[in-house]
Amino acid sequence: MTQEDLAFSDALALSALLKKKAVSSVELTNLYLSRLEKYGKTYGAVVTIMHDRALREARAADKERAAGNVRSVLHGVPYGVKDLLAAAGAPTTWGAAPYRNQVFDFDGTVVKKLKSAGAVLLAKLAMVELAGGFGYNDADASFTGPGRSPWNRDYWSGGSSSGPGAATSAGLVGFSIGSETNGSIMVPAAFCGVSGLRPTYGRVSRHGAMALMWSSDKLGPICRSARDAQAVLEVVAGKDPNDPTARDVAFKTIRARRPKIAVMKDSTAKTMPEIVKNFNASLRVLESFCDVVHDFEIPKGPYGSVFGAIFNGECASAFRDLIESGRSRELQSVDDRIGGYQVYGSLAVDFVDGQRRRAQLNEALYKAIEPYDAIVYPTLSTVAYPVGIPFDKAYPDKWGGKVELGSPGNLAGLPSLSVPNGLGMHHLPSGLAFMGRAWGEKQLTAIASEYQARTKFHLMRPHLVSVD
Amino acid sequence: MSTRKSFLTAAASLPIAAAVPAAASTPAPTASPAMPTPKPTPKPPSDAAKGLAEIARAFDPNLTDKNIDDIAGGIDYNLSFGKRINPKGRALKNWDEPVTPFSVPE
Repeated sequence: MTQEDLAFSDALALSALLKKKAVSSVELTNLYLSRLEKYGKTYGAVVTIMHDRALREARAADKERAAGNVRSVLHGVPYGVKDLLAAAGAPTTWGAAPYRNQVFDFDGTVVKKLKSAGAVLLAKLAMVELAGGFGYNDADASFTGPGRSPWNRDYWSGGSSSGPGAATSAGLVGFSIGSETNGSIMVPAAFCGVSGLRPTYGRVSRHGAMALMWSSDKLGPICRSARDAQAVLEVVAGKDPNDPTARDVAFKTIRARRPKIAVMKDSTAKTMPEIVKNFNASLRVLESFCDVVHDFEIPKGPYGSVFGAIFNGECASAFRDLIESGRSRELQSVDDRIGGYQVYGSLAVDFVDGQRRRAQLNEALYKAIEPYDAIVYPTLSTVAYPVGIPFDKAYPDKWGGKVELGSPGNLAGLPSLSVPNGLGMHHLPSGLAFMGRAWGEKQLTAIASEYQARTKFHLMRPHLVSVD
Repeated sequence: MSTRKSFLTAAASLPIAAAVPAAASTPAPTASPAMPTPKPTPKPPSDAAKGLAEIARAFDPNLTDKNIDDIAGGIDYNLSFGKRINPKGRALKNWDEPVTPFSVPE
């Protein structure tokens, strides 16, 4: 096995190698640290590399393993976290210049849980400033520069978990932790060709994470396989006295021998032809082991407006101090410099009405998806957007035409998983999305793991370059 | 009438006094903080939005008139959410509770 093979192995494969003593955690950590140094800036993927902490944790992991004390399946496996999550020993910048020197002297709960599981923290990974809360419209929306796809660095790695997506895709970490309020795990997973899992709201504690929209913020794994995503989720899940929304709830499992999945109606409308082709090919694979129902329709919205009204109120409150300080002008994206004032000017009555409609919409959505183990659709209608062009100008004929489950799923707190399902225009990855019932992550990862066993798209590797 | 909701449902058969203005017929907006969103076609901002946007000058005196107009445009866009959430006042009834009801601990 080459060093390259090792770097691109999924976390469970690394775990097996550690168990066999074919490699040590210190060796793995040094490998990933060197790759983060070599490629991290090239892909706009990293904010802070934590050499000392990583090697300290790796040495401790090796020592414990030698003594027969293996804490979990992730023991000794190196990983990175999106830089909105507190970790002692490094700044936590939220991707934004006004916070570039912000330091917390504690680990967020997810970091703490991973440490207790024996995993090794390598780096704080790049992100879109304020997780995209102020309405950016191009890739250059982080004080560390645009996130770039390892498949072609002229294209965006997606957001707002741009660093976790790129670093995982490029084999710079064993796995990573991202966050999603409305698309921030699913999008980079699709654009970077990796497996990203947005957990059910309340599955994972957000303690120590930047708040953007308390009622929709989730932390979740971005990995090189669906099986990894489930393994990481099981380590970081669970209740936490520091986050009242975090709960211990059993994982729902598939109810029949053949999973029952539904295909979203019109889910390939205004979608790039290559993505339609990949999606249809994915359906053929899924039909070989699932019962597939077509033309599934979600209950009528307006999901986007409800999400927007609630989001505006929560975001303005979360960043009131920044907005009122006038320091928005220090943000990287010109849209973000005024976006805070736009959410600040929203109406309280719209916020409350949004919460009232949310109750209705969620009830209808829970009922509609109950018969199915997963709803499937192309994660996005396009491949990654080019860097340097406003997003809304990148693929104008493909914009906004498809039925999508981002806002409905996030409003309802439902889990979703994106896995790679081929390459499209410009040799960039496309994604296949699965949305499930509340607390049904294991259903999604089980179906996706079987899909990955039959397709191998998750094993595709980008050809990396290093640019100083 | 065992619940407040059932009581209020019955009460709702009475006509309401005030007419509710129709929702604007602009394209349905989508909101996605993590993902870029399609921006509305630029048009002159409303006076109400301009008034709200002027508040921003108190926080950043360096904002230009163009900045204020852009902020006002975004506020108009955000205000359109409210009209779509409850079009013609038909989607929400008086008793429809928010998704996060307040409760007193035992």
